[in-house]
Amino acid sequence: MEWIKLYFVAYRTALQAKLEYRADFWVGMLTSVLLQLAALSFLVVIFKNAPSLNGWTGTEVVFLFGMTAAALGTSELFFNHIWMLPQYVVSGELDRLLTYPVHSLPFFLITRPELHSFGNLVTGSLLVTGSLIQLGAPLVAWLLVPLWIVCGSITYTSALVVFGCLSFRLLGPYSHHLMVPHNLLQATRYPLGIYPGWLAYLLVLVVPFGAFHYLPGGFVLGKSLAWWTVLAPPLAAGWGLVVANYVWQRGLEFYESTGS
Amino acid sequence: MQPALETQRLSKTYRRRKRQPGLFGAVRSLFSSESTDVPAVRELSFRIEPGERVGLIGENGAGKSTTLKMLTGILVPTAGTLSVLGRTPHKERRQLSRDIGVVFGQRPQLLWDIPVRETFSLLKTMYRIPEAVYAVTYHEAVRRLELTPLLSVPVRQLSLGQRMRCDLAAALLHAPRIAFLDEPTIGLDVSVKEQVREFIVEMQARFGTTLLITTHDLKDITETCERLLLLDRGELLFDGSLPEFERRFASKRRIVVELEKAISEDARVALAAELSALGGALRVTAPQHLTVEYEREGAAPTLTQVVLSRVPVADIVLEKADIESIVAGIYRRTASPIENGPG
Repeated sequence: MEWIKLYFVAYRTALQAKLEYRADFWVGMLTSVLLQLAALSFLVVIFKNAPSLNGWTGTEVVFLFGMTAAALGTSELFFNHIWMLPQYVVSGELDRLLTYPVHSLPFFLITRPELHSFGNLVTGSLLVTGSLIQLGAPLVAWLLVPLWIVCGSITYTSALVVFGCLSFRLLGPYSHHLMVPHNLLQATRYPLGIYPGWLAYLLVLVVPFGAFHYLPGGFVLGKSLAWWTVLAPPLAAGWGLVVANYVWQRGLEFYESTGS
Repeated sequence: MQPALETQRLSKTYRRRKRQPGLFGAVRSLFSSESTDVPAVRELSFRIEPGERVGLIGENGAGKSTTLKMLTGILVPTAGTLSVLGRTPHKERRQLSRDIGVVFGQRPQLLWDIPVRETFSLLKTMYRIPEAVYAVTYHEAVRRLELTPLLSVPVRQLSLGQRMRCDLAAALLHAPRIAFLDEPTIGLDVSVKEQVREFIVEMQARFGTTLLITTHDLKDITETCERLLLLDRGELLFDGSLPEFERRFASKRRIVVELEKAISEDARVALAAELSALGGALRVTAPQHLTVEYEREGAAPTLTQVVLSRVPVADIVLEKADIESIVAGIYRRTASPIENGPG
């Protein structure tokens, strides 16, 4: 319990530090809302020309959109620090963190939240709520969806960690390679059936971004998928945590700090 | 008794990608994975007992920071073994961290962009510092390092010196059993350096902390340490007490004599001959000034007696090279390509 309190205090402290920059907050918030709206208008264009995508109606795809945005927003709100990892590795700024009596990975992740993530989180939640109402989703869906979002954000963050840890070996202060999981997540805004088989399998089994909304959503919304898909979100999150933790620990062995 | 820390043949080698010169070379190195091994620390073996105050010195690139980073578990050693309070740092980093305090003077950083006071209170939670200990360490830090006006200032607005003081306070808040201080006075002005040293000495005395300090300012060592480790290109060149260090390396000693009146050439020759038989080299630096240089320890009384009995002396001063010039001398010697390596 002691450690939960510590992480809570650390997160609150980091959040407070972030609130010092108010303009940054509002600009970021506006940007993320506009980005979501732009993507959504693209969706509207698609469904003006086609009644359904791989068997998913417009509203159902909006559900996937909303879930993706909400998971992304949650990850940004709690674990956004991962985006700075490459820079820290190169400049040797992990030194101090490694001398604290904390689990380095979760502590690192929570100590720089991104507040404009509220934009993604709010837009995403509104889209999910709207689509669930429209579709007349069963009660169980309402109960499970928040959990799925949490699982999704963990799965996504884990993938970011794995890619971020590449910086321990391939030194460069850039975070381009983190755009790979980011773009893969964005790909799951559409039903996976529209993609070639290998990519769909990749997104379910290896980088399981499809596991927290496409699979269980398909079941709850009455598609043909099997009942066990409701278990997919925690399984994917667990798999992500195991792999991310392993890669992080391995990465730290290669950490070279700086010359001084 | 278990040592505070112990290393055996500890080595660290950095692997650097080979870089070709020029743009063309840079492009070529994208496709080749040639690398060179750069040894930073070589077969270092030493042992520090609890409560010892040890200074680690050496030129830039001698491996001081690398050693400290291995001892704190930040870097994984390439070879050899090390144990800090009975633990292997890089394997038990988190367990060990409660018992050690670390300052990196090159990059003083409190992780968060929040007022200093709140950083301290977060550290209190993080290290689970008992109220009784915190009351002492916090109070002492604030008083000794004059932190009161800084407590409400966000970390990013602090100057380097202010940040350094706060960082030092932060590192010792939990009264660690071992404090690793990597250049704790770098970039500070003389009065702040003095404050920092006093604080270190005070905390060490109060909690019996084991100290390991790296520095380029030898006053840090003479004022806070009793033992010295000298690193040269990753190898241990000296390990012993400060007096031992002076005995071993301070070869040149000097007697400076001021005369009441200038002496004749004959008298000078006679004196020079007599002193040289005793191991002293006489030099006339001005008509009324002589110096006698010698190396043998304990030769001063005889030499002085001879001088006093032969010439009219107005004043006499015994000089010994200070630690700073001794170290500078060692660096110069070891840097020469002929005498490659220690010794």
